[in-house]
Amino acid sequence: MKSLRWLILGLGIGILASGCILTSGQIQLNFDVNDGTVTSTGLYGIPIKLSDEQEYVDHKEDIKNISDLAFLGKFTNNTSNAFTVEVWMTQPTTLPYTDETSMKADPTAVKIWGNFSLAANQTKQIDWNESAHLFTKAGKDAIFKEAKDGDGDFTLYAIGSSGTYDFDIKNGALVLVLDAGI
Amino acid sequence: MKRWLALAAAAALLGASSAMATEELRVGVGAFYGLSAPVLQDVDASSFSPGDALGETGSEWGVRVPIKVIPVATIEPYYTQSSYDDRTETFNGLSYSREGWDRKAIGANFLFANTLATGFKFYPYVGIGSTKLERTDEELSNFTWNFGLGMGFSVNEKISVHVRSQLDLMVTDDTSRKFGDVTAGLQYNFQP
Repeated sequence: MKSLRWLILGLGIGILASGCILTSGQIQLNFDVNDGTVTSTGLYGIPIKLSDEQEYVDHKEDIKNISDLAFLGKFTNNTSNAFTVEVWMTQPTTLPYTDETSMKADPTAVKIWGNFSLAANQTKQIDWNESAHLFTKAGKDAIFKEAKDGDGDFTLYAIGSSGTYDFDIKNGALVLVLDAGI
Repeated sequence: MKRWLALAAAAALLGASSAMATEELRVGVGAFYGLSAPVLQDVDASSFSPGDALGETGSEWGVRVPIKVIPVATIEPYYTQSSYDDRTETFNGLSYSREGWDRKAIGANFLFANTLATGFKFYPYVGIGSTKLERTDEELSNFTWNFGLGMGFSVNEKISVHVRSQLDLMVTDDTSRKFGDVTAGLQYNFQP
């Protein structure tokens, strides 16, 4: 019976230690992106405000990780040249950037997603699985840091990866899944 | 956390091995099949309803080898495999599918009953193991806790039927990915 006591003690310690992992989950936050047209001389900022989500505000201290992330939507290449699309993130500014050079010069700017290929004049709805794989490590880290240590507000910019580009984003969305205590 | 878990596992193994040394060894083998679902994973925070707590269900199968440790307890190494359906959701008017996980787990349960004995059994159990989650270009692997309730009855001295419900907690740092399982299986006892 002495050995049974060890057994029960071991299992008891394990159950107690697991208390913090019992009350946790993967919480999904979705943000719609307004339709817009992006050109090499005309960007538009996509404001993301985690702070508008009550669940985020209530559980911000309990966020442990980002478990899934995707930038979704339907992209249309309005040119006869193929190019790729990428997404950058900056801290919110009073006036959103309208040109690529200024946006990239922002010290907080980081490429978070890409590259998504568009053929000439192609319209393509990105696949959720493909989009999740296009997030960069630096991008995940930046969003996690903002969600955990910042105010949860940031701005996204979709741009072409090089040269002249002109594309539409329709029905866009950012899907963010946070690993958090509840 | 990991030190506590290692201590728990070591103490459990110490107790089990000491107890086994004093008992006549009895062994069986079992196979099971059932349903499994992610629990509290990818829950939409802006439109939560209790039904969303369970994700896309998948099928699960596995094998177990119950070994009698002491008259009122059984140790049971197991291997189990699950495959979850894709999740389909609509975002800003467009429909998308996210690939479901494939899950493989190996470990051992400690059952608070001698499931190798004949008769009707109703038993709680706990377990430890290792779980791997896989989908295209993505893999997670970590330590897992199991908790469950089982019910078994013998058809004859050699064969028994077991129905179980179980919660699996795959540890991910300070949180976990949880799965709920309901399975039914057959067990063959090598000794009468």
